[in-house]
Amino acid sequence: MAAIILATSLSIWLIKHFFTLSLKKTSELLGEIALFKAPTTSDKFREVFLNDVINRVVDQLKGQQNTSKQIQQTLNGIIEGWNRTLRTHQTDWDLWQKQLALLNQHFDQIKSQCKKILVVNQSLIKSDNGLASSMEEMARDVMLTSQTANEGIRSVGREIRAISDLKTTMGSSATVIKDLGELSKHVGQFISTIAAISHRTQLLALNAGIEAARAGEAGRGFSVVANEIRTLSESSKKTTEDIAALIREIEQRTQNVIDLMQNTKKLEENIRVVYTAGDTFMDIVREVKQIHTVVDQVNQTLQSTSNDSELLYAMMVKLKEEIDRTDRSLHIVNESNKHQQESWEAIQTFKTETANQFLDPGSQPNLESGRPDILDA
Amino acid sequence: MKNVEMQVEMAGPKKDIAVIRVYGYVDSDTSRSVSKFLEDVIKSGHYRIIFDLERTEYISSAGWGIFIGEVRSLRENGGDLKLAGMTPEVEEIFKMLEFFNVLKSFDTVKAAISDYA
Repeated sequence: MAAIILATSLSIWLIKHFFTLSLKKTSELLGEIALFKAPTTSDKFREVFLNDVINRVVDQLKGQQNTSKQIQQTLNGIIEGWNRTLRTHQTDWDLWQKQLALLNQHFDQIKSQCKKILVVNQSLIKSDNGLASSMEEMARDVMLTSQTANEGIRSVGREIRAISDLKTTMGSSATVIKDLGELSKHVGQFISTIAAISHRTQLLALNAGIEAARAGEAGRGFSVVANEIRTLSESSKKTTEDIAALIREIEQRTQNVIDLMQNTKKLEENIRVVYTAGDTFMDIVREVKQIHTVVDQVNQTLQSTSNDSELLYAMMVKLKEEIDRTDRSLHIVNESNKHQQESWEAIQTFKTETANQFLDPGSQPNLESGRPDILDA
Repeated sequence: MKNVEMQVEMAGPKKDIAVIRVYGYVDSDTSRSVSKFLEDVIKSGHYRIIFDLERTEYISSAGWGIFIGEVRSLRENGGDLKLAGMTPEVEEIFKMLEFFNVLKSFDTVKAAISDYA
């Protein structure tokens, strides 16, 4: 473009220079005519002189006309070059305008997306922080659950030991009570023997009393003894019966206790309850352990995600700075584009004016037909 | 359903230590067979017992109850019940139950046998 303007300016300067020279020469000749500086005063010579001058003027004008044609041809070439260049430039300009419009459009989209990503990123960071906080609470709850379950297992351990001790103690007690029951049976057998002896003693005492009564006065003393023996044997019999009843009561109660101790159904039920509770606590501990592992993994992932989010945020902030910087550059480009548009319009006007000024055929004199009209006047 | 299998082998210098190897799960269902197996070993006159738990994946409360329930009578008869080769999971529960106050445990059967010496 600058080369075109330079070439055009140079051409204009050359044209003006040649025209100025040519017109100066013509003016000098015309001045000679006007002043009429004829070397002689005779009509013949004056005519010859004038013809000579006019011929020289016509020659001069022809020369000017040739020069003008050459200049016109040159200008035509220049204008054609201008047109070609301007057409090419117009195409490039249109393309540039389209690309610039697209660039602006895409850049606006990028800015919009960047803002959205920043907002989402900030939300993500907030969510991450919220989630991390929730996970910390969950980890604390899991820890408390684990501690409670551990305490439960310890209790179950104590219960298992207590039940085991109880079973052993009950087993030992049952043996002792069973032995006691056997002993009571032996005592009962002795009591039966004593009762039988008492019974027989009572019969003997009765018979002795009968025999003493038959003996009369001689058997009176023996009769008293026989009565005493009978009384004692009756008392002994009653006592023996009481003891026998008592032993039977002991035997019955002992048997009841033995039966009760041997019937461990309720104890077994309690044991099952304790074992079930223990297994449940063990399951809880195992599950809590798994939850703890998962919570740890989630926390690690969250930490990583949080780091990523923060890194992404930092990158997005940097990207936004770059976008702002590019935005400013694009603004400058758009402003420059406006100036270029104005310059382009100025160039178009300049071209048109230049073309009009130099290529107007009406402004050129016609010398092909011989003398100019001015000479005929 | 989880299963359990057991094997007994006499060990020690005098071959008077019954090493019972338990494979699988000792839960509320399978603990009865473990209890019966132990009773049979004791009835055969062996009071020095070692439970090899290297291949035991899980022991329920009922299973632990067997060990705790028998150890007292075994000691009263001059014997004992020791545990060996517990997996980390089983040992964790063993420690939680605080049975280390009642039962002796060892990393290996060999160490448990040595403890009887």
